[in-house]
This record gives sequence, structure tokens and C-alpha cells, in this order.
Amino acid sequence: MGKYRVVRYVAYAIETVALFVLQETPGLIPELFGARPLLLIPVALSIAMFEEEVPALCFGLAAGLFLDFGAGGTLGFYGLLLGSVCYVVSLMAANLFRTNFLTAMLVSAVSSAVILALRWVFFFVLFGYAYPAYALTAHYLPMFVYTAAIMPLTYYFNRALALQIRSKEE
Amino acid sequence: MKDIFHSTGFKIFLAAVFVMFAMMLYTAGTGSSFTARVMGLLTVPMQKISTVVTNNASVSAESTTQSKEQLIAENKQLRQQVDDLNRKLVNYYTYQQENAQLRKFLELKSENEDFKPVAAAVIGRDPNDLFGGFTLDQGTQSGVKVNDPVVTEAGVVGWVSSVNAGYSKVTSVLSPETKISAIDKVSRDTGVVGCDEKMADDGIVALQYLSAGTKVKAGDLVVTNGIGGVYPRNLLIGTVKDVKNSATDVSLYAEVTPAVDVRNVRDVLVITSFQGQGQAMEGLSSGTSSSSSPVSSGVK
Repeated sequence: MGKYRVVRYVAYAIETVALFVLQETPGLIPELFGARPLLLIPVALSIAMFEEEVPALCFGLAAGLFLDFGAGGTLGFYGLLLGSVCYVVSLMAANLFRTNFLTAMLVSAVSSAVILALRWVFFFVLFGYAYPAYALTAHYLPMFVYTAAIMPLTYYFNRALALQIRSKEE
Repeated sequence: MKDIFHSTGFKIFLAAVFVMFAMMLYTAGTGSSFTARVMGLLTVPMQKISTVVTNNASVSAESTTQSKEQLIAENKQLRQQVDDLNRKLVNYYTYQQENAQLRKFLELKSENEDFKPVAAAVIGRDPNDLFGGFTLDQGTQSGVKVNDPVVTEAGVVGWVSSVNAGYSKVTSVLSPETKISAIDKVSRDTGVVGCDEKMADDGIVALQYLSAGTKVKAGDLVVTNGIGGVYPRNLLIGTVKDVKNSATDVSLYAEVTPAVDVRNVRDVLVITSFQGQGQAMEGLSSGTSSSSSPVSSGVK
């Protein structure tokens, strides 16, 4: 493994941990309609768009496990979903579509919607809590919008990071 | 496409899926894992630092704004000096607030000599938690256990739902998983305090299963009645806001405004031991039922 590749991976790892800490810090990120974003979803997706499938899978798994850890309880739900999504996104970015701002936003919207919808089903509806439709519209929908809206920041940051280090690598 | 399915990457992907499934099954059963402990070791110290920095920054921002207004009105030449003094004042007020909180904790301890309290700070609030749950900076190393009650000097906050060496997760009174056996201090009517999604959004809980002839009224204080062994007696839960008919049966319920704003609380007290703790749960586990879940004892 090349020196610059290691540097890139270390940078991704630091970014993931730092954003997890920011996400969990009470009172740091302002709420939007009572919801806060899951910063690690756009981070993992934007890493996946610039990396090969195995590193994308690994960073997806790591980000997912951090999300699981923050949420408490069962470990592996976000890990499984985000790892799988990042693997698929990386393959699609390499073989199916161009990596640009539009595709990044589409990937972010679709992936966040799928992940949060499954979260709602498995951790709200199947838990038997009252008012699932209300929770979906009042909490999960704002969380989805907020999470997807973070994508431009993480996309341009990781794009700059990947291009900057790759140019030195080449 | 065929190449993808035969690639090493795909085999690694399948292995990762298998490992994640196994981890989900394992942690769903045990509630903790080696991975969670490692992640806790890595992130909890950083969370503590970021929380302290955020809290201090918000206090400093407020203080600086006030000082600037005063300084413009008084004397421009003394601006720098006053800023310095204000920075010292921030620390002073922080210590003063901590001191006041510790004094109140001490009073709570003096009133209840059987309590073994552990002071803890909120270091994490996850966006996934819709009911005001949070992470504390104390864990098993400080004697914190699962089901320990979490309170402030004002009243009940919640209970410890999972614990690790250096941190613990708290489920708040706004969670549907929290059920507290409670009593109206004025009318002596008893019920169960619970919550649902809509009530949690409004920041209220419900004193449920009140009889049709209940004398509970707005303004009454609702406290824990100690049954169940999860919460000690006479901890304030909140104040009755209104009494309403239940939508599902003939009983009534009282809307209760919690004494503590659990979504913004920063410092709490975990009661790690008190007289009668865990009695009902021991009874349940030693009974005929094989279930260890303290369903009627305060925690689902």
C-alpha cells in the first residue's frame, strides 16, 4: 500500500471520528424541527464515491458501527446497512455513473431515505411504540432532510481530499 | 457483472455482512460487546472534551455580549480590562453553579442517608434518540449499574439502560420504555407514569390508570412511590397539568409536566444504591416466571 493511500485512509478515519464526536456533542449542532443530522451517513457515502469497493465497505462499516454505538443497544444495524450501501455506491461510481455534485446528492437522498426508513421500521414500528406515522413525519423526515443536506459539505471536502492526495500519488 | 460476483471484494462484502449479522444477534442478546467497549475507550474522552468546550463556549458567548454592552456605555479605555475580568467571571460562575449543584446533591444525600449517589455529566446526545436519552461520563468503574435511577436535585430524569466501564446510557422519563409507579402527593391516588411519542414532543408525561372518581387535579405534585425497587420513594416526577379521559378505556390520566427538562439537563446524579433497591426484581427473578424483565417494577 502506497504512502499517500495510507495518508488518505488516516485522514478519512480522523474525519469519521471527529464528525462522530461533533454529532454526539450536546447543544453543538442546531436542531431543525427537533431533529439533528446523522453526519456519518454523508461522510461514508462521499468517501465511497471516491474509493474502491473494499475501502468503501470498510469505512461504511466503521461509520455505521459508530452510529450504532451512539444510538446504544444493538451493534451492527447501521454497520450492515451503511457498509452495504457504501459497497454498492462505490461499485456504481466506478462502473455506472459519473461522480459529480448531482449524483452525490441523488446518492445521499436515496441512501439516507432507505437507511432511515429501515431504522423507523425496525426501531420504532416493530418496537410497538405508539404513533409511528407521526414519528415518521415529525422526526424521521426532518432527520432525513437534514442528513441529506449535509452531503454538499462532505462531498466537496472529501473530493478535495481525494484529489489533493491522489495528485501527489500520481 | 459476473466479474463483480467472483471478485475478492464481493467475498469480503459477504463476510462483512455475515459478521454484522452475527454482531447484531450477539449484542441484541447480551446488550454489550467488546466492540462497544473499544469504541467507548476511543470516543468517550473526546466526547467529554468536546462537551466541556461547547458548554464553556456558550457561557463565554453570553457573557461577552453582556460585557460589551456595559463597556460601550461606561468606558472604552477599560474594555480590555473588563474583558479579562469577564473571562475570569465565566470561570467564577461555572464554579458557583457547580458548587450550588453539589450543595443540592449534598442536601438530597442528607435527606436520604441510604442513597449512594454518583455525580455524572451528560457527554452525549444521539440524534437517533427521539425521547431525550443521553450518555453519561460514569460507568461500572464508578459503581453505576443497569436500572439505577438518574435524578437531579429537582427530580427524576430517567434510568440507566446500559452501562460500560467508563460511560452509561440513560433512558429518560419521556421514553415509552419508562414506566414509574407513582403517587399524587395531594390526593394519594396512585398510577403509572408513562409516555408516548406525541407527549414526549410536548415535553410531558402521563400519570395513567386513574380511577373515574380520581381527585387528582392541576397543580398537584406527582412523586415516585417506591414500589418496584427501581426508584426510591418521594422523588419528584413533576406537576399535574391537566386530567383527561383515556382514549382506550374508562380510566383517566393526568398530564404531568416533568420537574426536570430532560432534553437540556447537563449534570445529574445516579443513585447506585438505596434501601429497597431491586427488591421487586429479585422477587420476579426468584418467582415461577422465567422472565427476568421487571415489567411492572418501573422499567420495561
